[in-house]
Amino acid sequence: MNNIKNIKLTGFVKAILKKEYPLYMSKDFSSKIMKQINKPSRGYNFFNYGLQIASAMTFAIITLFVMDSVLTDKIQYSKSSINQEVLSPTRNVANQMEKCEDTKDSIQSSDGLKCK
Amino acid sequence: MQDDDKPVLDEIINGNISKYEIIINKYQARIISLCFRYTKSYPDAEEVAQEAFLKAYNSLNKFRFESKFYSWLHRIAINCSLNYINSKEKTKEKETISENSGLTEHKGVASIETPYNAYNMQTMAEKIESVYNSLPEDLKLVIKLRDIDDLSYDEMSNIAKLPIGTIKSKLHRAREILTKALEKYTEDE
Repeated sequence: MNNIKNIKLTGFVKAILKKEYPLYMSKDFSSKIMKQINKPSRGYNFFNYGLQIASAMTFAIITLFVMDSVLTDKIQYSKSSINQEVLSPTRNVANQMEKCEDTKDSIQSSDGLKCK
Repeated sequence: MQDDDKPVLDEIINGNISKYEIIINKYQARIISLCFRYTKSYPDAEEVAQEAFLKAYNSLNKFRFESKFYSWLHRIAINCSLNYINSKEKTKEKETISENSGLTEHKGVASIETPYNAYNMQTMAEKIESVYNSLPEDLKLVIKLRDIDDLSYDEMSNIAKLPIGTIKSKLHRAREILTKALEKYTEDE
């Protein structure tokens, strides 16, 4: 009788004498577990590590680009003074206050502004 | 505390994985029986026991030999069984809500017929009990002290008033008789 089989039978004898046995049990119970233990681990070899780091870095770079384009405003500050003249002046950049007309006692002109 | 499994476990820890089969074969029946107390189904008990053996193997490095290996494995098996019950209860709750099937019996209890590719432990137990009862008193005593009461050789020597060497040889003889009685049930392997 081989060693493993002898150990198995001794285990059965002990379980029976202690009255701790199931009514039936699979013959291949131990081999199923050993198969799982011997299964090569899909683990952490050099290639997998490299792949993980590369994908993490790619993700980080893409995220940074997206954040950069969404969150940062496009104002570019310059250390030197800007000499270039603004070609198309707008209302808001004029230094003078626009006159407003008090409409309480007089008739409002068609393009006049209301006093606040 | 002295543990008979220590030499085998040391070998496993040092990389001889195949030796774990010894541990499984030694304790499988008792662990499956323990899990069955919780699962009430033999297929589920085997599944939970399998999980317990795998967990024990994976955390073998953490075992400090402060208790017997079997006590540790026993504890792991109980935890796995409790986890099984918790997950089963969650599933059962869902089933009860959907079809009110709370009174259905567990599948394994109803069928006692031995499935294909399984040991009929009941038949083996009947055989072992009859062989054990027919053993000479001195052999019966050593088997009782060692395998049922889990005593150490020193304690056995004190009780039986025999030298340890004699105890060991009587135990070997008694086990040989008992395991031989089981051989025909495992011949097809």
